[in-house]
Amino acid sequence: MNSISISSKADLLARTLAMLSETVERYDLFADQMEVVNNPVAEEIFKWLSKKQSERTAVVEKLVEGEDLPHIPPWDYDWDDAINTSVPGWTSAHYMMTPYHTLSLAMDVEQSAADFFHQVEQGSNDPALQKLAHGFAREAESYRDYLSRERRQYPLPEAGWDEDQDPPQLLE
Amino acid sequence: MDTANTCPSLKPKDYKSGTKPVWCPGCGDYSVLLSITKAMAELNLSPENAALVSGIGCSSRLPAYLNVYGFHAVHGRALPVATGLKVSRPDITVLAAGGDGDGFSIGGNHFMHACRRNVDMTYIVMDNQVYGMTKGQASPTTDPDWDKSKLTPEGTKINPYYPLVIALASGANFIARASSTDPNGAAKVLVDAIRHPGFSFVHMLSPCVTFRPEQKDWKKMVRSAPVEPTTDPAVAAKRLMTDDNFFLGTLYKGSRAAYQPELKQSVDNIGELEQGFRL
Repeated sequence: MNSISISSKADLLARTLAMLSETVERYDLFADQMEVVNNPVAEEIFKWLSKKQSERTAVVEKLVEGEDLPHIPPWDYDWDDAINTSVPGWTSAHYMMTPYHTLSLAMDVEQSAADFFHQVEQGSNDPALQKLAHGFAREAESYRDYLSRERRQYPLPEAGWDEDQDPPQLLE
Repeated sequence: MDTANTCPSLKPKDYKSGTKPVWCPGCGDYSVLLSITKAMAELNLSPENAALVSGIGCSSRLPAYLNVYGFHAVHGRALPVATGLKVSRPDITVLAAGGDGDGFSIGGNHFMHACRRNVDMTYIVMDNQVYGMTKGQASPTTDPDWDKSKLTPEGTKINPYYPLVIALASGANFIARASSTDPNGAAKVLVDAIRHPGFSFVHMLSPCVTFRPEQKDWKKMVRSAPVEPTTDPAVAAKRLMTDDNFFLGTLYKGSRAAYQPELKQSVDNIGELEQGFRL
């Protein structure tokens, strides 16, 4: 695992806040997408994920009250693509996605977040920064495990789950 | 780094209109929309001092989703509309956007001459190498052996169009490639493109997950160009001619002065304007 060098607690808090608040926006966006493509089950789960993520964001916002956080341009965020859930790829949204896929996507986000915080912990010599990064990593792992338990109520999708009997491709 | 470093007063979401996009889930254009809003926030652009003009196609829906002035023009005509807007209102930031079919086929001639005129604006072409809105036909940038469309069952068998080479040859002042698979990196390219004077062309790889699902692999294929932007067109020409279409970053930064005609005094009342249009 590569290490990530972050200069201060304020720097880490600014990045953490950006990560959490961007994920809220993406879950909202995914919920909108699922509404547009008439997938109400996935829509509801994304709304639930957004609510949960908002609560976690509020905790960090409380933590940074009164802190003077630096501005970090997005190209310096340094986190894994899986956190960028709007990125097209095999882990991104699909119009026929099932609850299992929806929660798996969120678990990938949390795993990537935990990896990011572990990398920050490894890249720092500052005990206070290491402690904070370690705490965030543990929290992300704990939330990932919670999502994994939630996912157990849904069956593993069978092969061909994305076969559409009314596909968008029209014969020319 | 030639990019913004002040703290933005608006957040990326403040540049969104609130209209829900109707792109397919997983479409790269969501990510491009995010990159544009991030770039606008980093540049501290006032929404009332920015405009985005588009053509026709999936990606050309962009103006509806942004909180800046927008114009959804006719097919292939984003650039002439954007050119007219910028020369008459040089004080505002003008972006034009569209897809590869819109920009390089029906709008191909406008593309060349917009590069040649070098008006100070940024043109973003979201390239997915297919006409998505009309259900998946080969576009100018489609590989010759792509045979998934019934219109071209054996592939087009003709060479694809190389937009970056055409842009350089035609006189574009800034040439870059970005990818929707890296929205934060794309935001940086857009910031640099908007800041650079003259006509900036950003070739934005943006997979079509519905008609070109194999393009999801672009995420693994794109990489940063291992070179600094050159100011030498000859060096840029060699770079772009040997490019494999997956190098990201700013590839050329020219120094030509942007075209901006002297403006005549504006009319004071609408009657004068109507007089000018009377047949």
